[in-house]
Amino acid sequence: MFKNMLDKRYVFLTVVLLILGSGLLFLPKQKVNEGIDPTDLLMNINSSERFISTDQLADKIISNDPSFIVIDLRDEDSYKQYSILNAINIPFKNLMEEASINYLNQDQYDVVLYSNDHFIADQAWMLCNRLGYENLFVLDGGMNAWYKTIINPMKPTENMAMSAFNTYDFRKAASMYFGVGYPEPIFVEAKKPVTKRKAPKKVIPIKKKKKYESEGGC
Amino acid sequence: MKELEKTKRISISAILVILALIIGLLTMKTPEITYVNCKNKSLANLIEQPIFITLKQYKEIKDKTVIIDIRTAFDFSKGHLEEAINIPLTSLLEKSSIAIFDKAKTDSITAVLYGKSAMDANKASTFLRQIGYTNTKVIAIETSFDSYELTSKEISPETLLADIPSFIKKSNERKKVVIKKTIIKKPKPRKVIPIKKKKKYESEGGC
Repeated sequence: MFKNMLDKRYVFLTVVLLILGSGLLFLPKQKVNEGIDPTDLLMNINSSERFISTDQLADKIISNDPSFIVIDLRDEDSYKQYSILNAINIPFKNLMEEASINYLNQDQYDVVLYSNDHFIADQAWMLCNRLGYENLFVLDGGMNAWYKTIINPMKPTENMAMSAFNTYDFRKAASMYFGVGYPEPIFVEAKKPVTKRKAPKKVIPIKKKKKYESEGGC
Repeated sequence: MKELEKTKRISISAILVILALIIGLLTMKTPEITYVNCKNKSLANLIEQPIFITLKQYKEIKDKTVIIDIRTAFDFSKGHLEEAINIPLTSLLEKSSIAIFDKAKTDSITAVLYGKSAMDANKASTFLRQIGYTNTKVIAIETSFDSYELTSKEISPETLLADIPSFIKKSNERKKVVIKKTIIKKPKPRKVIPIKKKKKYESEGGC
């Protein structure tokens, strides 16, 4: 009699568990979000904090700032042709490989991404931001802006503000740091000895001969 | 009597279980919008189907597109492209805008975006592709509002405009030439003024 009751309890328990289990089957497939919430991503996209200007980057490179790395997202050929000093080449198609993620997903360095323009770099930034990687920046204008502002800066015209001249001075100095030659300063230096300095006429004093009285001869 | 009680208990517990399941299902939070592609897939999508199309390419597929203006409503009211729909960048995730993209997706129509700068449209398109709307493109134009008219300027994104290494090389060559010029100028022989030595006159002979 007692044994029989136990059995019935077990049967009841298994039935309950079965119902629960079959309930799991009908649960909707939960969508898994890989990365941060899309609404957060949209908010991050709209803020312009991620952009770093070419002047800021040049200043960082020249002052040997150890807290950042520069990543070139273009293909290998254009990287070999010209790249920003000490940049690391990660072609955009290799962005999600493990070797590249080691550079992107860390909190020791600020990482500056650049491409020919800022479009590819910004796409890369968005992918990384979605995955929650921090300390990433985008070079505003990319390589084209780097050329226009740092390598070949426009000389300000005379009617421009003083600040334009100051930035030009900085950019010119920076471009010289990155190997651009300017004819002017050397011209000035070389010119110095050319300045005509009239050799002082030597004044040759002509001593008037004293007329010796002719020594009396005979 | 006993049998009846047992069936009662079983039925009550069964109802309770079913209720618990229903409540669980209702309260379970499912995010409305999620990323459809994983990171590798969305990267591959960005590479295989570049976001930018030129104005010429756009004209070819014009029949199968819907133009979306992602500037603010204020800018949109001042002037916009023909047949453009305004969806500001900040309200991309609103239900009304999602419905437009959904419709475009089911009709396999390309949603062509444009904004103040190509950069803004690029942002929007990259974002939309990650939440599953891979049928978005951006026209490579930059718009500005001059003298009561919306003008657009074509751009060519991601092309290097200058050959930097040759520029640097040239600039250094220029430097050398100047040095040569100055070197030619430099030598200027000093005039040597010969100083004639006076002949010492022998003292005229005295006695």
